[in-house]
Amino acid sequence: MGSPGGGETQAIALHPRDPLVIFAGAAKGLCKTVKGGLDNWPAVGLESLSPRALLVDTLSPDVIYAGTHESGVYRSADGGRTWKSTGTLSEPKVRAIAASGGAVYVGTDGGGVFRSRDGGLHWEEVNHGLIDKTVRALVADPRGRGVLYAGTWHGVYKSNDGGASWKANPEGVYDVDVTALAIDPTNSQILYAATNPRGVFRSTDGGATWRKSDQPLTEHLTSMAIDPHQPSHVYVGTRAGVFRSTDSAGTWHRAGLAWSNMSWTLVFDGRTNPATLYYGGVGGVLKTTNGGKWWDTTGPVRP
Amino acid sequence: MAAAPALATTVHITEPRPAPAWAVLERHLLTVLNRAGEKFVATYTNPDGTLRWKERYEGGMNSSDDSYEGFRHLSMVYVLGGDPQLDTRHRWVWEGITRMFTRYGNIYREFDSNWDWMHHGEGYTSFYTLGLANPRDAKFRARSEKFARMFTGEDPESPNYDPERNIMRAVMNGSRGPKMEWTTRDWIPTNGNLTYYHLPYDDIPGVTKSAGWINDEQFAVIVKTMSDRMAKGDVPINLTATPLIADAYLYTGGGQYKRWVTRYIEGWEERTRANNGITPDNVGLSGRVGENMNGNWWGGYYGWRWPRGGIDVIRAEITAAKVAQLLTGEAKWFDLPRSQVELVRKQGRAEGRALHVPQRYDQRGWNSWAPEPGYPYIRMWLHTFDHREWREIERIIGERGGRYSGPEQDFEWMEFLSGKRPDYPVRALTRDLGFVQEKMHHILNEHGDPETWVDSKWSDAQPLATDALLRLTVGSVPIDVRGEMLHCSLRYFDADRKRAGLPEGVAALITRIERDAVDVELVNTNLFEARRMIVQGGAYGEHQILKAGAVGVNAAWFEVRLEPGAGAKLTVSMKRYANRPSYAWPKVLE
Repeated sequence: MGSPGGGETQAIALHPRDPLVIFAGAAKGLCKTVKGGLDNWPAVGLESLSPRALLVDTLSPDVIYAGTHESGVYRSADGGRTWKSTGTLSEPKVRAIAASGGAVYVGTDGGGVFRSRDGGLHWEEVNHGLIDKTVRALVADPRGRGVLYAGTWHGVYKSNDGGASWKANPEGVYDVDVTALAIDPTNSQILYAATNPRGVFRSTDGGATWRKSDQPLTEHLTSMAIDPHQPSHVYVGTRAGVFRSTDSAGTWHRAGLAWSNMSWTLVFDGRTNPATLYYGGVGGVLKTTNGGKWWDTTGPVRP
Repeated sequence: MAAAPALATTVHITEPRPAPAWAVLERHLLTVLNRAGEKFVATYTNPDGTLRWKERYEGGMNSSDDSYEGFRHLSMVYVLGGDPQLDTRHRWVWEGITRMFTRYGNIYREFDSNWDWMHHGEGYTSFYTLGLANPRDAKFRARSEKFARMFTGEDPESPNYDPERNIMRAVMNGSRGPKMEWTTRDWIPTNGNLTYYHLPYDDIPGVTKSAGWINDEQFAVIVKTMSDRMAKGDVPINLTATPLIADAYLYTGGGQYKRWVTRYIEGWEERTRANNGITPDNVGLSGRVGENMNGNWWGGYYGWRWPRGGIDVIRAEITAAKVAQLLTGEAKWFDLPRSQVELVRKQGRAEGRALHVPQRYDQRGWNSWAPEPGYPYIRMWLHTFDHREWREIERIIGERGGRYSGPEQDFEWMEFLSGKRPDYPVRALTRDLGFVQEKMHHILNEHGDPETWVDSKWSDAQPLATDALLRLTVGSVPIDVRGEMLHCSLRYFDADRKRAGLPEGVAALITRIERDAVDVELVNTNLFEARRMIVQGGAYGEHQILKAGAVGVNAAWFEVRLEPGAGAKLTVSMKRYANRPSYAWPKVLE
């Protein structure tokens, strides 16, 4: 009822062509709405697997990858109707997923990063230089082929070669728990790292240098998203609601859901104007189109 | 009431009877439930009995109820004939959940600090079964009395009850006493669910949409409005506390518990009479109806205007009536719920073949018409055997055209008891086996993240289906999870192993239930060993059995000896509610 599949929503992925089609990874499995939630988020598989990282192939939207809590990666080739377990990961606890240069990458809890170049049939560890293998966030530069950033328990690592090698920046976001990363959709040299307990960092040179927010958030940060229409507007999900910055993470203000004690994911859909921000966490999938002034449900209200 | 029996009467069943399909299925279901229960517990609990769940839980008043509820069938399966180990596991999990929620801060003195009786009822349904399964467990007996005193006015630390005005002092009550004011903190994360229901009031300042529940400023306004109007005073859902008090009575026979139950119900009867025959859904601390509700008798918590509407009032009244009848032997307690069911029915209008009745009442009057829920009639008829209930049951059977869903599946059972649907037992048992199979598929493939589970996880996952066994073997409707205890026509014990439930290999099928008699088929599916069992009148020995077949009994129970592969149908005549009810087992089992 309303909340996809019952329990907390950990992952949200948008269909690249149809804005009413949304996938949500929930406690009971993967849910797929084709009516923006008004069809009550039917479950379509992966029951009891807790999919917590989702990736929809932008070129072939029927192809979906789901990284699960402790059962590796599953792949669907028919829009989520059927699922198959992909090749074996030596560490099946998947926490993040990204695509770059035709390859799929997953970040895992203890096993580092794995890469598949054949649609998930085979996975290879790509951890050279990645000292901390607890990967909580993974993003790919949409413009830089093979450029990836991994957020780990001990800082941000960058790869310029499709994961073949990773490098941390001791002068940057280092020796701190990174829980979320976000790349400015209009300028991929700008990226943000949400950390605990030091708050949000911003880089304008692809991670070479970082600057901490003027006003550090003290709440436990869990997720992050950037408004594609106003990229200076950055949102972070915390254990005490959502916060918003309108000055590129300089200062922060509450953006609602103060009651929410877990925001697993924030995802923007820039196809609406203003853009729609989806929240996944306690209470399922919620949305706002006015910067968090008003949040709405995505499911139907009972008569 | 009659004195307890002293000597056993034995019915000897010797006639060979090839096990019918229902008997084989029944035994198979019990076998499957034994393993399913073990696997369920092993999958979702830690080695210390706590649940595999969040390290920290930040629910406000929303507390342990769903956790206890999820494991409620363990002891019940044992009581019906399952493995005694399930009862042991139930007690073990109970301790674990209690410790866990004490650590979370929700439980205090082993009971929920503050919550409403809809939810207390859900949690403590599980508690009552423990008394049935082992009345000699001193720890649970002591808990039962301790918990009861929290609501009878005897516990100064938990002054939930005002004996002078015969009211509960608050909607939210528990081991920390009445909670007179609510904050948003109390309603997290429940607010997330309430977003999908209509608002509690139409006149909350500045709040017009249910999504107000998830928007911080409006959330605060909603809770403040509810707190001002709803928090203080009594509501009918508190009638669901009566089984907890009866639980202490069934352990101890303490007259103060019986007196409290009857007096508290009488308070609601009086208020109903004074309110032109409609049970008011709110009473202020002064005892005045509508005191905090602008004088309105409607608008209270889980009352006539609440999202689910008046059915919650009626369910609580039925739950209380059952308990009062058990304790006093009188059927008059059903006058209250019957009057409310009739009142709602009189507002009904025919739509197609079905009668639609209003679900709610508010400033617009009666509204929100929907098909009349039929199950209250069955739940009352099984206690009153009153033609008024039976007439409505027959009407609804005619209206539904044989198609029932949800709690109305009891109507299929009613048809079977009327001599129709001869295949019902096999279908019902097969349906429950299918339920177990489906749930076990999930349990065996459980790889989810406990951090993301909500508190209903264990109720959703639990694989123990007892509906068919309750209906077919002991003659009970499935227990209303909102706080009911077991009420049935017959109950069984294994005389050789001195344990509750059907002896291994024995199957039972009640084929007729009347006020003065039931027909029961007993079959020993074991072709090699005889069985001895005790058949008791009612779950608590409350029914005096007059005859079993041609054998005079005149006691609360009798013994049956079943030769290998033997079976027979017995007509058991009885005088219902003639004995003082007790969790105590027949003395022959001591």
